[in-house]
Amino acid sequence: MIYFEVVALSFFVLAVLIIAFILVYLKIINVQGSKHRKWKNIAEILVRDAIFNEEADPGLVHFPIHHRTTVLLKNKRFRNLLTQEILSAKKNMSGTAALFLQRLYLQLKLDEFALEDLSSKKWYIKAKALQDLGIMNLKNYLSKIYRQTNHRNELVRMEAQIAVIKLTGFEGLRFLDVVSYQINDWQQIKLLNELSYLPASNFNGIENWLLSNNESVVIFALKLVKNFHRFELHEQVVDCLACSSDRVRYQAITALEKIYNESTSAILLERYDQEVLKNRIAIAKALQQIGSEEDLPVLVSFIAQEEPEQKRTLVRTIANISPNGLVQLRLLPESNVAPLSLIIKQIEGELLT
Amino acid sequence: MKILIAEDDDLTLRTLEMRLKKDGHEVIIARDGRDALVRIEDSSPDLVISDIMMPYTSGLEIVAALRERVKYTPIIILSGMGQEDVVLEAFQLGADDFITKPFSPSELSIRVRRFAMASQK
Repeated sequence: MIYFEVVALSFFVLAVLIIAFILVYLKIINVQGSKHRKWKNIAEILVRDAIFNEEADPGLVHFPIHHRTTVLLKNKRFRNLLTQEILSAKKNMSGTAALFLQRLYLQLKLDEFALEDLSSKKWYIKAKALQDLGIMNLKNYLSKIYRQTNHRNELVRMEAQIAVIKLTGFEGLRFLDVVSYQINDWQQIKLLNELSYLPASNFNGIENWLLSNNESVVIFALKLVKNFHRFELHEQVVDCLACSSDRVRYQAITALEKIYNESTSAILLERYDQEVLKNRIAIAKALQQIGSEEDLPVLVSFIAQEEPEQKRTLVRTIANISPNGLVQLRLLPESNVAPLSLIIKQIEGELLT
Repeated sequence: MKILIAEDDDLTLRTLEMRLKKDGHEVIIARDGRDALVRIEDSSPDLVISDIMMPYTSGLEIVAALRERVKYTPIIILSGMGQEDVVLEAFQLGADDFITKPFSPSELSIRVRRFAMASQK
């Protein structure tokens, strides 16, 4: 009987403790939620006041900051929330509103906290600080940001490289002169995307990057040649076809497709036999755009040695260059034998549609 | 002028709301596309400003829905950078104007004024 009472009492005490814990926990969550809402409100008012100060002179403006906000700025969580609000508004606003947001950021000395974070040993804090300084367009800190463009941590490097482009446009690409780490494909897409928002400019440096020892820099330089149609670099791009890396040669082929001249198709056809399959396909596709009737005999001569997949690409290229291409193909003895006969039929069907 | 703003980013929504109210317009807000369609039916605005990327119903669907209505309501699309294809699609569906983020609230205000003047003629 006593044993039963002890068990019941223990159970009761445990239940009370659990309930008390849940109540305290809910209270804490509630208090934190309410505090967060208040802080968010303060941050939003500051941001809105900055945006709507549009009539004043951005150079002279000084935003009235409540004493309570100044005290709250010592709290890291509030600071992070406020920074986030300013950054989010800055991403959506341009013109005077954006200038005022930058002014508010500086007046609250949030840049100093970002600089502190830039010295952090934790990569994610460093990367966030770089992102913030880039979005806020704080050119004063360019040298500090630039130093991180060859950081050993990939994500820090990525944010720094994006930030220097945000701050200085094409000029920021000079990090390619010194970067010793590989620039991965995703980062290259991000950099090209960032550059696509800038007004066209005849920036310098590509010819040096095409000679870089860093393979990814050469690949990125070839993408720049392609995206910005740098016709004057045709010769240097052709030189890249002799590179030992398949990836570099592939990019060179696709770049030549965009900056071709009268000699390009002959150069590509000369390379064709020595290339790996992926690059042969790239050459065939490039010739669909830039090839001429003169290229047909060589292309037709390649048909016999190819696998069915590549045969199809070649037939498509030959047919696209000229209607005469298919006539020449039909003269081949194997054109009546599968798979070539079937491929020719398929491509003829494609041309009709 | 009665203007409906459909935008899922709270700060942008409130900024636009304040700016347009300051310019003397009556403003109705919607935080997603579905809500926007309901409010268009309920309040019949004179102008719609809509973000493209929104939960439930996109800005493009709002353009299409507006063009199916009898009353002609002009629509300004808010698009992100690099969304040229979507903007083109919006124009094909019948959008009247677009503005790319990041944008200046003053610029938007001027564009809205243009529509207000046109509606008064």
